[in-house]
Amino acid sequence: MKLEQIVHRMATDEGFASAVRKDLEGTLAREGIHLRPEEISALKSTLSGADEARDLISGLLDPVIWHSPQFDPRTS
Amino acid sequence: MRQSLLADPHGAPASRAQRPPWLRLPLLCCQAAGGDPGLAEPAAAAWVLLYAAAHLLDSTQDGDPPEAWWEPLGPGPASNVATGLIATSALLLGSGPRPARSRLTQDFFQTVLQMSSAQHFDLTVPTPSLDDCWRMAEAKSGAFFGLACRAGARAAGIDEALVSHYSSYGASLGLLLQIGDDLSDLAAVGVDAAGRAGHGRMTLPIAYFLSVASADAVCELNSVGADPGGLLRPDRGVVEILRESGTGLYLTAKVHELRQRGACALRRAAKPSPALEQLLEMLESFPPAV
Repeated sequence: MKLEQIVHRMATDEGFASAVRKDLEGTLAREGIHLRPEEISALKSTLSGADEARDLISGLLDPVIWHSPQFDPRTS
Repeated sequence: MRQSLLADPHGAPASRAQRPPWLRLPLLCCQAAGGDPGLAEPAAAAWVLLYAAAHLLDSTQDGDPPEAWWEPLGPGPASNVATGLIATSALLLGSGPRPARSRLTQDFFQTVLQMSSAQHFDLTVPTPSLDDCWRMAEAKSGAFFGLACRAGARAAGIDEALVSHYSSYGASLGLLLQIGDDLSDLAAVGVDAAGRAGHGRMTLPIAYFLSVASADAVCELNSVGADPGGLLRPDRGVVEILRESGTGLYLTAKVHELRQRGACALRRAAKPSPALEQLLEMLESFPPAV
């Protein structure tokens, strides 16, 4: 399983996401998932700031889309 | 390569304050490698000219909205300006001291060939996979920023094994910039007057979504304003669907991975110095919101 598939499962399967947050390496081992060490380290860093990660997309888009004089959502 | 170096959005020449910090990469890498940054100036100037040319060609090939300075000229003359920039870059490289100049010139234009090959793939493959997108990013932004750092470090006269670490650092930084560009593109598409996306290039967030989402989720995204070709209208529904699929988590994980990879490579090659600190800070600065 690749990083993107694991992240997607974390986003859509609360049980898996909770297990990963409690014990990332143990959960991956139990599920037979192999990631590169740098990917595991990156996931740990991401989970330590998970709220910011969830808001990455909207956080970047919001100021541009919703406050841009060029874009009026009422007419889109 | 979304940032113009030739002019600000209104067509005025870019001021010093508007110039991005990574323009100094060759000089900083030379300094971090123990050299006088002046030694890297010809390579730095040639690299900046190539960046400006690549940005201009990218814009005309993608059909992006023109910048103010070339809007009255049109894409044909703008492409010709890019050719002039490439030729000037080659002349600059050829004016440096022997024997370094032949190696430098070869490295520059091998990188340009690699980038052209990836650009051809980008322009001709309608729905590249997520892996394809990463390969293209590595062969374009990664290779180009790797070149800047390699050229700067090499000007300091260090061993080639150490030069390769600077190259890895630059490649990581280039990919971080690509993530930032792709997120900005998500925000920018749909803003033009015709209501169409500015370009049809697949972005990393959409490529991630298409690689993991169910057919139902893809249909849902299409129904609120996006299509599988990566064109996307700005819409709260689109943002929610991308967020629920873990797009933010995935890109953040990739950002952490690239920062770690870049910092690790740099620390293998450079001794503690102010230049090293500035290079490490640059890794943390891109993309700006993470």
